[in-house]
Amino acid sequence: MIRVQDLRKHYGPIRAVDGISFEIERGETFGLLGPNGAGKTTTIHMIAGILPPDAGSVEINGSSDPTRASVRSQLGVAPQALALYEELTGEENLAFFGRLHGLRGATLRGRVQWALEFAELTERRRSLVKTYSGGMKRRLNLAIALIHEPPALLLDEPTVGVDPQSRNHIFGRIEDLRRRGLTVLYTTHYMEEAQRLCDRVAIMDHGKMLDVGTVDELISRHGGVSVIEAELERPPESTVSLPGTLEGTSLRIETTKPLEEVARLAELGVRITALKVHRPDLETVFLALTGRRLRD
Amino acid sequence: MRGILTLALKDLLLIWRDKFGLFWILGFPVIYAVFFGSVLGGGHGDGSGATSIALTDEDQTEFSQEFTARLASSEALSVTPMTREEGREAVRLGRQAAQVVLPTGFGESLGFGGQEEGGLEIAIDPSRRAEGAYLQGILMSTTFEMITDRFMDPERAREWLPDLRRDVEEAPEIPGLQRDVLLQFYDALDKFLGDIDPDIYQSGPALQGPRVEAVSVTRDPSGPQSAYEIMFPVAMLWGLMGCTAGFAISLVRERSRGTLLRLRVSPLSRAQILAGKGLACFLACSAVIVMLLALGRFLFNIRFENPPAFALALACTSLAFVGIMMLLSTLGRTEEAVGGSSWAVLLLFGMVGGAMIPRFVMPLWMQALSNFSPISWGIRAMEGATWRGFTLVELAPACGVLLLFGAVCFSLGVAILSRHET
Repeated sequence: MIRVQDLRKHYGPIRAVDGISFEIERGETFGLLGPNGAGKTTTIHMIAGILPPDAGSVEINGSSDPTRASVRSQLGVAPQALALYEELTGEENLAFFGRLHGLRGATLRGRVQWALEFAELTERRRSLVKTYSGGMKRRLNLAIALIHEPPALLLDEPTVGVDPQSRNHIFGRIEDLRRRGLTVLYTTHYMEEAQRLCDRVAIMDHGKMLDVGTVDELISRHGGVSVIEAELERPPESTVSLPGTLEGTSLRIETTKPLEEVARLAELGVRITALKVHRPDLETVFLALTGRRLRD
Repeated sequence: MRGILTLALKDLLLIWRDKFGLFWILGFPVIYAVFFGSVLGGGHGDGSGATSIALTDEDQTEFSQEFTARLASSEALSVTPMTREEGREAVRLGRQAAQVVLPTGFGESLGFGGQEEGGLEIAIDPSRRAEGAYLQGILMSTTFEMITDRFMDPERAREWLPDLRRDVEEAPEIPGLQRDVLLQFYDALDKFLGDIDPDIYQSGPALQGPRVEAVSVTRDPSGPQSAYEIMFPVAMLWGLMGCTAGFAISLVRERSRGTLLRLRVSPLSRAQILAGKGLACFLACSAVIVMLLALGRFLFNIRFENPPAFALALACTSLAFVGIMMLLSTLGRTEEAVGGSSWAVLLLFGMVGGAMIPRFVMPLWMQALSNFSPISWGIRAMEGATWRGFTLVELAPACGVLLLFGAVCFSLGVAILSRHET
């Protein structure tokens, strides 16, 4: 559905995007994970055709010119900033952007109604957007991107600055869109979001794509071992068959298969009073790839 | 085209909902036109453009009353009878341009010989000296006409002779021989005026000054009929300044709040997005002009006799300000920066262009400078399309300059915006 090939963009000496390539299959949710300034938004802008790349190509559904109206109508974009007219109502915002996409009459009314329900704003449809909470604005921002039923959706940090309840609502809606087969490109600097929502994730930093794969693939490639910390009821008589290192009653095991190791302890008849399993995650992957944390 | 119209209607709705912005676009120009129109119209009498004078007739003779009637019949004057004190106070307070006093003995003071006392008195508002000089000319002309008329009536002319004889007889500086010559002349004149047939006498050559005929520079020879006709075109330009600043700010607001990005990812091209913004600005400018004209026409009787010329002036002026709006929107990255710099530029244009001080009172160098202000050309176009009664051809220079100004600003603005976006 979306193919990006050796895309580059620089602003003076700064290389905002430095030769990235990836492909998103139809119906796939693809995450761009990286800290602020990694080049995620610039990548989205180039895919949407509003920023010309210095080099490389973007292909959307077989077309290599994203500035064409027919190509743009296949994309829905929810910008990171709340791109809403605060002096219009939620309904007026939706109807305005619907009209820009050529919707008219009953079709437009139907889509506006659907979008209001999608964003759970039906009751506030006639209130000015400036009276909405941050979460309501975020939901409307997402709904506007979907008003013309695009087959692909570009979401640029869609949960920035929202409360946990609205965030969960947005997650639920995106999962719903996944089930319907929408292709989604999702940028975030929250690894939990990428881990929860994305089929595949690309790790970005300083304009470069460091690796791409499923979450499990990335963890297995870069996450290292899991760590089990167990507090034993009493020290075992023999430590010969015990995995890991024992200090008093504290046992520490580093392993790539934590569940199997816990099962083995049970087989050995070790009585455990407390158990912690530290599994590597995308944060660990990012740390391994860049030497720093995602939110540094 | 539908997309452009959709964009424009959205912008007009946003402007309509911004009550503070709407005040500067429509409210302020209306207040400006009505306030200054009434102040200037009130200060100049009945608003007909005539010089208002207070007239005090202390002579109360047939001659002074005829003099008063002649002044009152002049189109150039608006005469209000007042006492000496009332008239002096009215001039001091600026309610009348001048006071004319016909003192006791005024009637007798005119004619041959003249009297020391009874001369005409005038008091002029110091701030309106030009009108005062004009008034003195009218008074001299009226006096001359009345003396001529009196002299051309043999019976009335003979009434002067006893006084003339007495003056000569009582004048010690006239030598005896010369006195006799003069008295013989008066006797002969008295006999001549008594014997001649009045019809034959009046058909002969008469005393006459040079004829002065005022040539109108407007289609309607009466010129601006009121200060409102001057003020409403200026107010229209104030409205356009409000529109221009408002839309320049709205364009940068689209950029800073991300809605421009959302528009850019819609199927509309960048040119269509800018055209939508331009159309909204054009429609708002046009609506402001039409509303002010309607208000001026129906409430203040502003002349509007050439709709095609007005339509041309409206279109060209509005287009010029669309271009200016586009350029002003590039003067900063934030709403505050664009708002501040837009008003600074527009007020400078307004100051130089005659929106604050009328062009005709500016020094010559400043009048020349005003040719670089679109406000000046806008006022010329609007005046031409209303009370000056310009034809389409006469409007063409002002419209041409406005279009050129708009095109240059529009091109520059679009070029800078494109650069910002990449």
